[in-house]
Amino acid sequence: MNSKAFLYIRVIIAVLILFSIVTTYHVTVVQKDFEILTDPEGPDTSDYFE
Amino acid sequence: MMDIFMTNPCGWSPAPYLLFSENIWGNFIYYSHLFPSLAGLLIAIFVFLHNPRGRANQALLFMTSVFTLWCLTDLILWASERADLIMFFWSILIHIDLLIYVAAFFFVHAFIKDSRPKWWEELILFSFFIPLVLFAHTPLNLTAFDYTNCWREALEGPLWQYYVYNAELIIALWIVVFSFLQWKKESNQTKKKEIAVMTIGIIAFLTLFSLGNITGSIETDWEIGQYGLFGMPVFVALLTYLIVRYQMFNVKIIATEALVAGMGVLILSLMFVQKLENVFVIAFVTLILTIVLGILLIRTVRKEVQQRKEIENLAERLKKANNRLRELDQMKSEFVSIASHQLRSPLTSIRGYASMLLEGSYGKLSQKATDAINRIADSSTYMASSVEDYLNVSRIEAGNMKYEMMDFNLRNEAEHVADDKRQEAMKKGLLITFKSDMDTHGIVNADVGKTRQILHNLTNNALKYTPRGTVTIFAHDNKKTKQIHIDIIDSGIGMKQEELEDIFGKFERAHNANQTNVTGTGLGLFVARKMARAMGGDVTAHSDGVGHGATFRLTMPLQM
Repeated sequence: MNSKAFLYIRVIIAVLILFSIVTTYHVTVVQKDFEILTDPEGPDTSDYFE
Repeated sequence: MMDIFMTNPCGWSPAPYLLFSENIWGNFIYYSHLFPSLAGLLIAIFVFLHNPRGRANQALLFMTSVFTLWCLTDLILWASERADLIMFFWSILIHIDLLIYVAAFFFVHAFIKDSRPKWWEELILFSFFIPLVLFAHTPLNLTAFDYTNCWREALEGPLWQYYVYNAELIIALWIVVFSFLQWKKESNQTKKKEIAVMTIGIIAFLTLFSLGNITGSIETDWEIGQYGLFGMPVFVALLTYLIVRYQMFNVKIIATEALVAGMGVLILSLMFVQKLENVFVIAFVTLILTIVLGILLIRTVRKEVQQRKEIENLAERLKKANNRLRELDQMKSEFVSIASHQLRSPLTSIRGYASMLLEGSYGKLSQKATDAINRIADSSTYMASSVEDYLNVSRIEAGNMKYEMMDFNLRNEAEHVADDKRQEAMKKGLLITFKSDMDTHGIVNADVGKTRQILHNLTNNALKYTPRGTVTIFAHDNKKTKQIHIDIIDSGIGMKQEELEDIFGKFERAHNANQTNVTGTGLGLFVARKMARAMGGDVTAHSDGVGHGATFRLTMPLQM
């Protein structure tokens, strides 16, 4: 296996990880699509949630 | 619903530059994150700069850089007040977490075998990332953001708890097995120790790091997790030990430097800590490092003291040997001087009678007898010249050579030498010519006889080592440097560059001297240079290589 093949493996995995990071950013920061847990017996945060 | 991202129900402070905020309630968090990453990064940069092409050096820098990235990303989780940012950075932390283990494997491989992993090993390592790429943005990674009691934490899902921690465990075990097999295979005891110490260091680092994270994830108590980061300083300490003890990475550093650097980093890091309850931990870490490096320092100093004693003993013995050598040299010079004087008188007699026989003072000789007397005359002349050389050497070495300095024209002397040697050159079928390019009168202040002898020696040398062609004596001067040069240029056998200085040694001749079947004592050039230097000048040699002739230059200061 030559050094180009090693390079391809590394580049492909780097691109995939980068893609995963961008997707995660889109889901968490842009869409803010995640569940938020609140405790009814905890501090009153109800005003801030619909 | 998403007002939470705009407002702040728990009174959290905003985090400028993502890293700094009052949400981090204790400065120890900064200490636990910045000190290990700084310590790791510093030693890795130092090692890398020493040899940027070393595979292990590159891998170490990569590993510590990924670890630093992890620490900085984790600090954002502690500092940020924004749920969306915490969720984002916590999600991508899973990639960095796994990458630390992969980088550790690369480092171990490069350190032990000085090579990259095989293609299938690399493929397996990178395939561990595929589930992360597919599910890092889903609730399998982080199930929710916990706002309960105003906690700013994400709940880690099965991708963390059931996948990535197990994948890391597999890589850690792989490192242990790989190192053990290499350790077993290794026959060199020093290398064996190096492999053992490095493996203990890397496993200590990875185990502490994992334990901190796994405990934090299961117990959801992330304060414990930060202690796991101190695995890195343990690894750094062992790495420093390897560098000091075994000059690993070809870095030559002594324990004193390592101790000073280590203490500097520790004391600098204390500036991040103000709360008293944390001082114990820092003092403990500092104490351990000081003990380890201190022991190394003491050993190094002891070794140096021992070496110094040995050097002193050696110097004393050398001094005695040198004095003895001088005495022997003096005795040898005296012997040569006496022997040469004893030889001189009979030789003069032999040459004189041979000359008279050839001139016919004792009657006419037959052709056979004339040939025989000619040989006697030639041999005795050569012998007289050799005796003169030996005498000169013994005078020079005993410091008895006397120089009668006076002003004379060196250019004219060089021309006379060319004329003197023309007959001898013609006998060998060589052409000897004289050229000059002078801007001054060529007056020097030196001993005429000795200078003439130098020129004779250099010309004789040129004639001896030139089987055919020409010998040119070229006189020229330089008004700026106030010097006159007499070049004796031949088209002879030449010599290699590395021999140009050696031939001025006592009894030294060029390696190819025997090719021309010439006889010589190897003293002519030695005597010529010594005498020239004693009169403020010099003799140097130049050649373009074997078969390209040579130029010998006598340089003397001009009397302007």
